[in-house]
Amino acid sequence: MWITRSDRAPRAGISPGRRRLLGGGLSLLALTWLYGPSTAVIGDRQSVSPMAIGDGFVVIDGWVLPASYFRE
Amino acid sequence: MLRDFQTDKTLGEYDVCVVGGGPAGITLALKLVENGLRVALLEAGGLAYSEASQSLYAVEKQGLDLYAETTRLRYLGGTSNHWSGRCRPFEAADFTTPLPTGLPGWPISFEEFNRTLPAAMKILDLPEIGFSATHADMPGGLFSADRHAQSAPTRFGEKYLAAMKSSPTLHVHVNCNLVDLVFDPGSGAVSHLVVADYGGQRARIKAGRYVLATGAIENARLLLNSASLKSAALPAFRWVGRCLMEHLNVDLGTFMAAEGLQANDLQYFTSQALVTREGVGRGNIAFGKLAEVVSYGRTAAIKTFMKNLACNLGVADKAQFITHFQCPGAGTIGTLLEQFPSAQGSRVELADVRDALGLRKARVIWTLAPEDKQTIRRLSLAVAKNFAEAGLGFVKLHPAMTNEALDLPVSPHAHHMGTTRMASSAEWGVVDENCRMFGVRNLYIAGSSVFPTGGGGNPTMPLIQLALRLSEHMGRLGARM
Repeated sequence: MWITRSDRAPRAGISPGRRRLLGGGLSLLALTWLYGPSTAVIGDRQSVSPMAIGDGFVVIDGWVLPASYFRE
Repeated sequence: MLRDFQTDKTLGEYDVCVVGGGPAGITLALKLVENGLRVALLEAGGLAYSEASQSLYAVEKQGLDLYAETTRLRYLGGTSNHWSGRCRPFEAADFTTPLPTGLPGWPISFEEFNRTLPAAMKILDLPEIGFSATHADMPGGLFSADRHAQSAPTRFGEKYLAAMKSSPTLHVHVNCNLVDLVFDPGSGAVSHLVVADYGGQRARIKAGRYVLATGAIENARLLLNSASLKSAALPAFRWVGRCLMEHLNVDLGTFMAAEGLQANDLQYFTSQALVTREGVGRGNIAFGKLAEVVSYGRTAAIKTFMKNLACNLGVADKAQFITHFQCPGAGTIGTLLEQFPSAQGSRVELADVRDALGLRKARVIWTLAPEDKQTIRRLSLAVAKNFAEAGLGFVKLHPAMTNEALDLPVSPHAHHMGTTRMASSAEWGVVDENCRMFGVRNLYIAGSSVFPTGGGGNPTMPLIQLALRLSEHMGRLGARM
């Protein structure tokens, strides 16, 4: 499971200008409760796996994001 | 003087015969007349578009499709009749950076090439302000704001028709198709051309010098169709058709702009530092907002309707397993990237089937070399990282950028280059630094087919620069052979 602060980075899989939940509503609610209200949860499906690409960046579901934004 | 070869077979003898009435051919012909030479300009099409002429651009295809039938136009003015008008000059580094494919680059200096830039800008009606950017460089030093200029755009057939008609020493023959270029091995020169009308009626035309200016695909096809040139087994002939280049229009992915950033048209260009560091080609990467959904093919209207419906209902993401598309307002990232010349890669050959005039059609083979794939994937990662580091937003890359097992989403820019490349000797190319074919005393080639490298800019202005340079050279030679 990879998480990040929701105000710092787009969640993987969110189209520009749109909000798309990766998991089901209940599981997201549960995870938000678990990690806190300002936490965005990414990688809650097997197809989402981070790939390090150097210079402190990772690719998650296509998004090129600073690795520092995330923790496991 | 304008003559229609379909009805008037009067052909004189000329100092120079220019084949092809596009930007290069028209520019060259008018300049040669200014130098006091008697010039014939042969245009295969008429004064306007016709199916009879355009259908002769049909080709066989292998690999990626570069839409050779529709991206070129076969009537007076040539492809300038639907040119977008974007101009960007070559850079000094285009003339000095070694090519990763091992081929030599330009045999002339950047300074020599750029000598005719001011005159070319004038011909293309470019603003005196020159080449400018509309926004700031990307912080980090790897991508600068792209500096370019916009032509009206100049439609050569329309703009210069009056000048061509009124010149007594320029004979423009329309509907006049070159069907054979006859080489005499004894004299080492082209003895005459054979031309035909649309009924197949043929005639000969003679000149002291000949210039092919019919575009990169057709220049190669016409040379390859010449049985006398082929049988002469000139060393340069083995390069004819090879090293076809395009500019790579890659769907890099999408992006989310940082809050408050106007990202409707951000155009960046690779810096030399990046090109050197990554070992990649140079070029433009443009960030924009999609105005409307995009569909192709015969059912494009239905696809567009369904996509719009999905976008309006907010369920476009649910349809991605059927087809990949973006909704209006989505950020899109397109490119205009350099493709490297490859001796064994993209090329023009002859197909077995013949066209209506009896010439073998072209087989256009357009593929990506490993170096081109490297350019695309490395630049995509570099620009995505720099975009984020600069605080401009975040990039979501197409899956093929990080997965080498997937096909890269590449389309062409209608920039055909390189099939009669310029080199310092016949060991590496077709024409010398004066655009004369090695081994043929009186045959010259104009247009982007002589580019040994394509750089990351639009080719029309550079090919005008070369046409002007060729006119100077031929003007110095005068009427003598």
